[in-house]
Amino acid sequence: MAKTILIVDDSSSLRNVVKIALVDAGYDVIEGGDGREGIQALDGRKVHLIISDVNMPNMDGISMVKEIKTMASYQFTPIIMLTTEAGDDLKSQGKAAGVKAWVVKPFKPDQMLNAVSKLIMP
Amino acid sequence: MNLDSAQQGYLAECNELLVEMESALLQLEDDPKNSELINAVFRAAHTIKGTGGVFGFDDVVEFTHVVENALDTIRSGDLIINSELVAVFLSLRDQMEIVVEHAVNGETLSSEVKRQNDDLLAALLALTGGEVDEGTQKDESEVNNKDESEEAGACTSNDNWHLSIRFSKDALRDGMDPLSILRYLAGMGDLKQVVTIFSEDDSEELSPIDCHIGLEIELLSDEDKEAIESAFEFIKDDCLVHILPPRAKIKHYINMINALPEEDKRIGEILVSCGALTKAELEGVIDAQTESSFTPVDGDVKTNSLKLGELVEENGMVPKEVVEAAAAKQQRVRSLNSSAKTIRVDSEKLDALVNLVGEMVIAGAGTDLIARRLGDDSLVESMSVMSRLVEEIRDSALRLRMVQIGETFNRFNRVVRDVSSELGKDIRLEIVGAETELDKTVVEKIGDPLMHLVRNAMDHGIESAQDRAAAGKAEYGSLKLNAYHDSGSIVIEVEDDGAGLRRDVILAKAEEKGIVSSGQVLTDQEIYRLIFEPGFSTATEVTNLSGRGVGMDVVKRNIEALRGLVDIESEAGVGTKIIIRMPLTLAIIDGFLVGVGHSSYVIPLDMVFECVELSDAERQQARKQNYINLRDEVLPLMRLRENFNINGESNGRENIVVVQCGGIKAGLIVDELRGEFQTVIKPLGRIFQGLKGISGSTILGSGEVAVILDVPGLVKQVADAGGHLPSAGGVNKNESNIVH
Amino acid sequence: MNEINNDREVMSFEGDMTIYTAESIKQDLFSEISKKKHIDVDLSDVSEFDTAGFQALIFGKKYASDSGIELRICGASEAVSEVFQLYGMSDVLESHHES
Repeated sequence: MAKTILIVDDSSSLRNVVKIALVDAGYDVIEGGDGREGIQALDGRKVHLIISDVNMPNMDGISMVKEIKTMASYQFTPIIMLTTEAGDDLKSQGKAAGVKAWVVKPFKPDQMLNAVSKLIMP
Repeated sequence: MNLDSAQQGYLAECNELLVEMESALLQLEDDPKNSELINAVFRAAHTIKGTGGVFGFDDVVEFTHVVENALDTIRSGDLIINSELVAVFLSLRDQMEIVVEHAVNGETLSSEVKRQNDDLLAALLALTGGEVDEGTQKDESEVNNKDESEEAGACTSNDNWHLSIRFSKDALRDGMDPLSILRYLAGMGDLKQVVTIFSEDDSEELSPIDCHIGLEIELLSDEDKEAIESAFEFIKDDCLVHILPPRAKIKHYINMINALPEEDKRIGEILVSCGALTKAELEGVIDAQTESSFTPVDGDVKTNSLKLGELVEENGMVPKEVVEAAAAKQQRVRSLNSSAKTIRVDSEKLDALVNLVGEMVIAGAGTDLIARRLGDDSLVESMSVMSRLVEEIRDSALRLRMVQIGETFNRFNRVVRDVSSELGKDIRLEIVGAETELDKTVVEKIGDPLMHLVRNAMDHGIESAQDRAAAGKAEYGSLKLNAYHDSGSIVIEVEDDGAGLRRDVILAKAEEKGIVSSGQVLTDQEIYRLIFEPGFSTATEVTNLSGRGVGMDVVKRNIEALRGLVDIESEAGVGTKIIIRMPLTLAIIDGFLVGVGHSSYVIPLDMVFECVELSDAERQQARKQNYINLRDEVLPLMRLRENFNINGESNGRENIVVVQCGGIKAGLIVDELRGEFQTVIKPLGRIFQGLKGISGSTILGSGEVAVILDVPGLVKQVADAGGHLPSAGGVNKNESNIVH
Repeated sequence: MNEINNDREVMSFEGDMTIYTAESIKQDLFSEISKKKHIDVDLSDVSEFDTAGFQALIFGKKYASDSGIELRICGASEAVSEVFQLYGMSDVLESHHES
């Protein structure tokens, strides 16, 4: 059974590129355009990894993570946050919220796949 | 989905972000500390760069990176934005558009574009004082990367990498499963030996969701240290990781053993059992340790582990970071437009949907007709429920095509800014009714005429600062864009507070150009409308802007091509207002069905003001003159029977449908009122497109074709023909000729 | 969980043995261990198995041996075998297959 990855980013074209790469690698992908949509996308299904941007409208990535960490079925799901080299203040907030994995934007699809494979395998 | 369509998506996304960025920048000029606006600008640059990088658009990344950095210093409050910066960012924004387009089209940047890039970035850096790239911090290990191979010390015989990991208690809760590390390492080489070390605590007390595992791994791999280190990228801050290369020195093993939490003896045995050290080597280690334990510096495990960090091959990583309390306020990021939450749908799909709904409306009307004819009450009732639902679907389908005019209006912020600096005038734009909705097709087509009107108002309408001061007006000129709905139309006004139109100048010029014959008596309104005549231009000086060769006549023609009307109001010294009235051009409208002879006509319901039955006396009067007195108001009339050359006389009574458009009322004389009817507009074929008074056709439930009346056109015809109506005089002779 | 007789019991686990279920699996194991002399744990139908599930099992095994009780793993799904193999502990599964 393929592992499911949730990707949350307000850039739909970024989501698409990452999705193409992940699906090729054998993962199932669900998506959300902001934190709120990300949480909605979980929808009770089994999710093995969450990839999320930080800076998003409506609900930012860190607020989303904080909320997910309170959800019994998702509290231990690994999370990769997308960050810029400039986002140090956000990184400490994210760490406090329980995010351990960071991928610096911009990244190539292969780099994302490599980062993902450090956390889950298809 | 493929990468191509994803790239097109990127282009569309960038364009949207750039529009947002521009609008935020313009607002920032007045509100430089608004963090939401700053964030919006930052986010645009950030997303364009981030997503661009994913596609491998290096040019985009390179260029946007500098912009993003500069924006970040502003975001962090280190730099306050000012109008000079806004100007640079606006130019940068334009350049980003170019760079993105090149990237998506797979073109390399021309030297010209590159030069522009460099110039703009230089201009930016001059203002922000930043550097092109904050030289990436040298990695600590790199700094200390002196060759230690020469250093004395015995080497082990182990050909494998030795990896030692002690996971943090929270690793599993954080989603960092040791298995993932093992799987990842397995992908880099051959896992020769893995020894799992469990906590020796009482197993009853241990929670399985805390991580109590340590690993000693022998990995045979050709990868370099950096690659192997990268496997621990996400856990190195919280976990204790040692990486010893093949044939590492005994000394390094000693340091590692000292740093590990388990008893040295136990570790030693483990190292032997997993093949990292031979028995003999282990003895060497124990001897060396006894020696070093006497030296005060190395006596303490903590001190020792700190020293490890200085060594290259031993990547002794103690949890560096105690997780800080999240004291920092949570940054709230909200997009500027609430409309940002959208789905992009191909407009053709929407059109297809609207068309289908249209067909459904027709089919529904047909079924309804049959149901009534059959006289089956329950069928009629269920049809009425259906009809209501169809009506709701119709409304929702149409609403899908409606967009707010705000985006179109907002474009003018930039135009006004640029043009006013070009003209050396201080002009401020006010936008009213940005939320007014209209059909997307109309929005697309209204942009150009509006652009011309705005430029014109700024160029010719608003006076120079000196003139304004002399006239006792505010120093800055005001330009107002206003939109609202009015009886089934959308009205867009472009209003300036300039000098107003000069009646005498216009008249003189019109006479000179032969547009009107001298001596003709015209009202002010009629004279103002002369500026829409072909070949008319009032600019006494040819400026940069008016030299574009497009006159107001073209604007008028464009708007009329959209079945819109344009009108003008002006007062000397106070200002000028251009009023555009456009149909919402919906594919379906609520119509009012009327009959003349055997023909059916549809009048858009929202233009119907009232229906009046004509008494015999009034009929007589109406026959003689083309107006009646309706409650002490002059109501100009039009007999549809005559207008559309329908043979025969009406039998029985005639009715007047009073329609209203743009504040003018007119009466349409018809034979029969047939009631409300949902009307699907079928566009007219090309042959009929020139016909005045008709805006489309529709098919009735019975299959009969009905003509949809172009009420604004008819009202104008009536008003022009009426001649004596104070609110609307006939100026355009060409059109008057058509009527008669 | 199926009881066979009074001193031998087969505990079958199926579905996920992951961080989301590990705590209760540990509870189940420990409470059975205090009751029986021999316990066979059947993991043939475990679909997802992670380190938390692995630890729950290892803790149970250790607790059993400390209490003088025999706990054997009598069946393992592919997911389970892979984990034991990665941790260098395949022998825990294999040795018991032999017996």
